[in-house]
Amino acid sequence: MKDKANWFDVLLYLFLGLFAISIVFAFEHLLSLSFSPSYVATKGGFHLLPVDATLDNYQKVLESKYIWMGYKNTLIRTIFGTVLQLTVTSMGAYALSKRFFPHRSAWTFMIVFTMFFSGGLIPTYILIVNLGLMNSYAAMILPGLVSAFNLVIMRNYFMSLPEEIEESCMIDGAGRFRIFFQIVLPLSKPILATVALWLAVGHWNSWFDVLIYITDDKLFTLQIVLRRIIITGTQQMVDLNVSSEVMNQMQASPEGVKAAAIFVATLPILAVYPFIQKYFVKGIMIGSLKG
Amino acid sequence: MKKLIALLLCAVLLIPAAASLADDSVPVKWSGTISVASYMFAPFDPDKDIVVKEAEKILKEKYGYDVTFDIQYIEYQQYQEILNTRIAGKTAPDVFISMSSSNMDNLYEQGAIAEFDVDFFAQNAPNLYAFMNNGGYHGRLANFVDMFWDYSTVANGKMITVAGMTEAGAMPYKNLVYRGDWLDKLGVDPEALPMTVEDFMALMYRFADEDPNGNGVKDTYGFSTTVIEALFGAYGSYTAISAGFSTNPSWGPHWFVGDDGKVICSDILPGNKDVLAILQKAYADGVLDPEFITGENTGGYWAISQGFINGLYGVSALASIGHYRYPEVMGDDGGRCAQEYYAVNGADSTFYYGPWPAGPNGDYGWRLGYAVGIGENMLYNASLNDDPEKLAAIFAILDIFFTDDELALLTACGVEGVTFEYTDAGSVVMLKTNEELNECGVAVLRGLYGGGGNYNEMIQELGFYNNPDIKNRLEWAAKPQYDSYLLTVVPVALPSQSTYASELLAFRDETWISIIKGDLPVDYYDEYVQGWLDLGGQVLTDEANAWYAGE
Repeated sequence: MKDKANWFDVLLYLFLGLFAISIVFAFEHLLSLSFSPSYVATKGGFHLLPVDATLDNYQKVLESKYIWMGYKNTLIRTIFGTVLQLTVTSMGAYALSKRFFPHRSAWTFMIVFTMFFSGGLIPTYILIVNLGLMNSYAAMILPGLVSAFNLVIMRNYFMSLPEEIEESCMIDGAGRFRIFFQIVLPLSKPILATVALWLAVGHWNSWFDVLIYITDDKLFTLQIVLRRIIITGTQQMVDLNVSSEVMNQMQASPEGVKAAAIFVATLPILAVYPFIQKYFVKGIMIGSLKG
Repeated sequence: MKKLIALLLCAVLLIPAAASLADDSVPVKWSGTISVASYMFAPFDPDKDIVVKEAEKILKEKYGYDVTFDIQYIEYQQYQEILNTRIAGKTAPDVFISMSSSNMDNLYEQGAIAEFDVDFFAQNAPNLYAFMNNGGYHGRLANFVDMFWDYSTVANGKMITVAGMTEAGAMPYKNLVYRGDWLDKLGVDPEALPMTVEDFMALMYRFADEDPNGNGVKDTYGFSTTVIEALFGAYGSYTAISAGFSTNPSWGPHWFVGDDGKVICSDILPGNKDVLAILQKAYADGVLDPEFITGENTGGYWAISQGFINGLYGVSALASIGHYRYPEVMGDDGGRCAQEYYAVNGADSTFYYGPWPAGPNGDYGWRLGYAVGIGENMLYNASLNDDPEKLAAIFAILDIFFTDDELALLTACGVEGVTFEYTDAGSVVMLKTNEELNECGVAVLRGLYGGGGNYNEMIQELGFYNNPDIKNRLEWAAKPQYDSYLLTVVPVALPSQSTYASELLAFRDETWISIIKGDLPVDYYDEYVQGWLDLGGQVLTDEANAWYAGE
């Protein structure tokens, strides 16, 4: 029985190892392309090391003012968006986690309902226009301020905290806000870290709302810039286009520049993972199992 | 003395009057803001502007249009989606792009775009109106005048757009391009490339069987996706497997007049059966690249055929002729694809243009286009119907851009020495990338000077007729079987096209790929034709015939 389990473990690790390698390889290939001239991509094949190594691609990407402007805007929306969302979501979740909250099920149902039915793109757009939020960071942050899914996950986590702790705090004279900020939140680090990571990655990768709500290029985020670098001149782009004049004017970014741009846009958010990972598994497990 | 003083005083009094006489500024005819979102590669940056402010100044001082342009950037790939939300939110710009004729029709039916009388257009843009009616440049497009009006107007006779009208649209733009090293290795004279399908296929078999790359391994093929289209052309049909670039579904099916005088879709022409037989054999014999289904471009710039450049097959028709220019003829870098070709195959590598192989009836070639087109022509916000003065100003400005060479050059090319310079041939070369040009204001007013192409004659001359690239195209098209003439006779989106087109395309591709791979016999083609008609093809055929008869 023990031997069988070992074999299974070996197989499992082998499978997971291969799976990990298949992902790392693609990443590594892209990394080597980003340090190679563009003809290397045309030539095809798999490259673990750069061919005719060059820093030109990175130089081109980093020279672009749009990349830096995109960085600034992405950082602003990611930091403010995450902090605000986390604050509002955790407060909402805490309230809903309390058994004595009047009509708790009805309120929860109303929130969960929005997970399945939304107003759709055009009504949301009209709302944003009428609220005067066009061309502002608020348009990127406010529409998704409370995610029903995150709220439910957090609510479940809060419900798993023993009520006795809060009761003892109350006996010691702590108020609701003090309990929430000084007791509940510190005890909820795993779920806060997990949800914060989801939110931050969401903000970092988000592009469609910017495309719709932002017309001022000074507010364009990194993903919009990256998208433009990647799709210009590609088949995807040309498929939509039947005019020969523009089609022939169209230039595509060299593949090396695309690869470099992808790295420049991805590395910062990737670097956050190791710091949060220790909370990650714990956060999801606890939040999802209790209810 | 008193007289002198009196005279002097009179003179002083007269100075302001004289100054006002000397001031030749034109009275303001209209003032306001016009917002426009035309095809742009990058957002316009007012801080870098060297064009828009200057154009506004000229329009004001010379013509009396005190206009401020609000240049809006809408990303092209999501253009329709973004535009629709803006139309719904009533924040759409005054002037925007039509992506295709069906898209234009949809917007019109929804009441999202302005309609106006032909007289209104003629009154406000008289020069452009005359130009269209006279058949464009020196009357060379006289055959397209009816088509222009057909495209620009709707059933009630009102105009909804000013359709694009450029000669380039009707010119052949592709050749077969062969690998020079393979031709050398096999001892094929590049001046005597195959003119018939028979000879062409014989060469393809040699590409596959005689080790043209000299590595001793049988790892080469004759051709792939785009050449399949050339073979259909040899049988008088323009059709292909959808992965091929030019079969973009949005371009719709191709219609030809059959022997009985009725319009028939190229997807069910009898000649296709012969082509499928050739392809089935070529596939079985390892002459047709087995990955033809996925297309020749595997990423990056759309015209690059990685298989051709890397020596997987020896001939391709993916790129336009301008992408593979003969450097020794043109004296330049060779074009976007040629550069990649040289980078991979060496600076001394060669490629050759080839004629289109002709089929048993002498047909050959590739799809041609029309000089008039919908697609990137401009539409006008429905709100302009409530503000006819503004719409009149937009057309007046369109007319000014058409007639005023200085303005046309400024807006289309920018400033000499900064954004463009003249070549010895009398054409212009741009000195910056498309993104940089848009940032500083070049071509951001495209929607106000002509949508799909610039109407101004000088710009046409600079960018087109004097362009060595176009000369190269025309020179080659004059040689036997290098031109193309396959032209759809129904160049509009049919009413039921959106209902049936994607299913018909999928059915066609699935059946043909199965036949080519040998899973179905070639004779299955007859069943396919019936199936195609039953799946909605008959409806489209009837509509196509009705449209054609109406012509």
